Amino acid sequence: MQLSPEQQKAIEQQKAQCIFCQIIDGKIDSKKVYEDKLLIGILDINPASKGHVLLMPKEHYPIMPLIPPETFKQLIDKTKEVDGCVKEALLCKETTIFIANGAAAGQQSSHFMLHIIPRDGGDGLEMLDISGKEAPKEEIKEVSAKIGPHLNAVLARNLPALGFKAPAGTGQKLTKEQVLQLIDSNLQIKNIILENPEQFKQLVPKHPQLSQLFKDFDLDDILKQVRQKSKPKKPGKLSLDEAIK
Amino acid sequence: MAECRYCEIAEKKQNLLYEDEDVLAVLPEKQAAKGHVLVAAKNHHDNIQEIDDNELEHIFYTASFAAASLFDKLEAHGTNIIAKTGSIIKKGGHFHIDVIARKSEDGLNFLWSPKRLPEDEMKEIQSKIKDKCDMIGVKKKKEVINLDRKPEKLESSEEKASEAEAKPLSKEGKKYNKTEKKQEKEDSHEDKESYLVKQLRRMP
Ligand SMILES: [Zn+2]
Ligand SMILES: [Zn+2]
Repeated sequence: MQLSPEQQKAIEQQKAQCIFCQIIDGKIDSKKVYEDKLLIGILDINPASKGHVLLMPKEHYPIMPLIPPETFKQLIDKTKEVDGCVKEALLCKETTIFIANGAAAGQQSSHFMLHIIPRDGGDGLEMLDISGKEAPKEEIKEVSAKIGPHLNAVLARNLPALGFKAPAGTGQKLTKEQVLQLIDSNLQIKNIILENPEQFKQLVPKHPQLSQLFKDFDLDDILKQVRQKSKPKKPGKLSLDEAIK
Repeated sequence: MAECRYCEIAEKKQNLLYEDEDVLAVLPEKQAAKGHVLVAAKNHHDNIQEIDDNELEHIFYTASFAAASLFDKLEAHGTNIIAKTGSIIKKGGHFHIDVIARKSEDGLNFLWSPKRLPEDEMKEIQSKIKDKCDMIGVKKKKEVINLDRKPEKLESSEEKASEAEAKPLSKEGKKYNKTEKKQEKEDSHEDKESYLVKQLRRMP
């Protein structure tokens, strides 16, 4: 994610004030339990329970979406491992992973971190055992309508780029018009369809993304429409187009 | 499978927001706040340690994007991301993360009252956990040696293999999604910007 110069400046100012950046630089003492190239894990000096670990990127990221993929993945992988170590070391079976994004959620430091909190029955931390109230159906519908399409679009766009399996496409069904538009905007596919439709038809089932794209459509019909759309234009019109250019 | 709450959700698709091969996101009937998304693994696991790195990253990324959606589309001021790592079996066998929209003065409080432990007890806990954590890298190296191959070569060849696998896919992904991307690009840019700017302003 590109930051504007103002945002960069704001983060630099945060960094200068950040206790955790100073801990990472070794300027302030801490009880370190884990360290690698990207991450550091320390004991919380004001723990929720015995063995409460703060795992964080060494780089100062104020919010989760700013963490680059390599660091994010490392953070999650090592959360699992450090969490396992905490359990072994304290002979406990349960922990809660806790993240606060934003001051309203209780984020107390501008340095992003993840809490690993050892749990035990009757430990007084029951607020971390999430239980809700039966919500009115209209409210669920409203929230679903507001965030569902956005979440699907964001995941469909980002997960494959991050190296995860492409979403199954729930709620993301393309209309025939959209599929035709997609082909029209992609010269490479369009050319194969126009020049060698049979080859293209053989290609589709072998290619996961193509087969996903066309699975709800009659391929012959689509190909026919692509050909119709790109019928060579009349010479007169073509030269007019060129003249305008 | 009907006895498993999460398998039932996946089957009935009740209040389902999102689903792919590994992950599902739903709005649970019992909402801890207006805007409470439950992100769950589709597979059964006994505890978080049993989940593959890749699958766990996938689940956490989904939770992170769900948090961004709550922020952007539900005007949340912040979000909490909370997960239990051990008693998954009791809860139905699926690792799951609660993503909860927060507003200033919403009356919710997930924060604990901080404890103070004596210095020598803190030191003892530190050394116990650190001793275990020091083995994190070591365990892996041992595994590599057991395979009777040179560590560097193994790593680099694995890396190359995964790169080679990943490349054609992502290339083609880009191609075929071009219009989609174009259409959404401006939108998403704005989304990210607004999310970022708003969040930065709310920083303590
Ligand atoms: Zn910092
Ligand atoms: Zn199940």
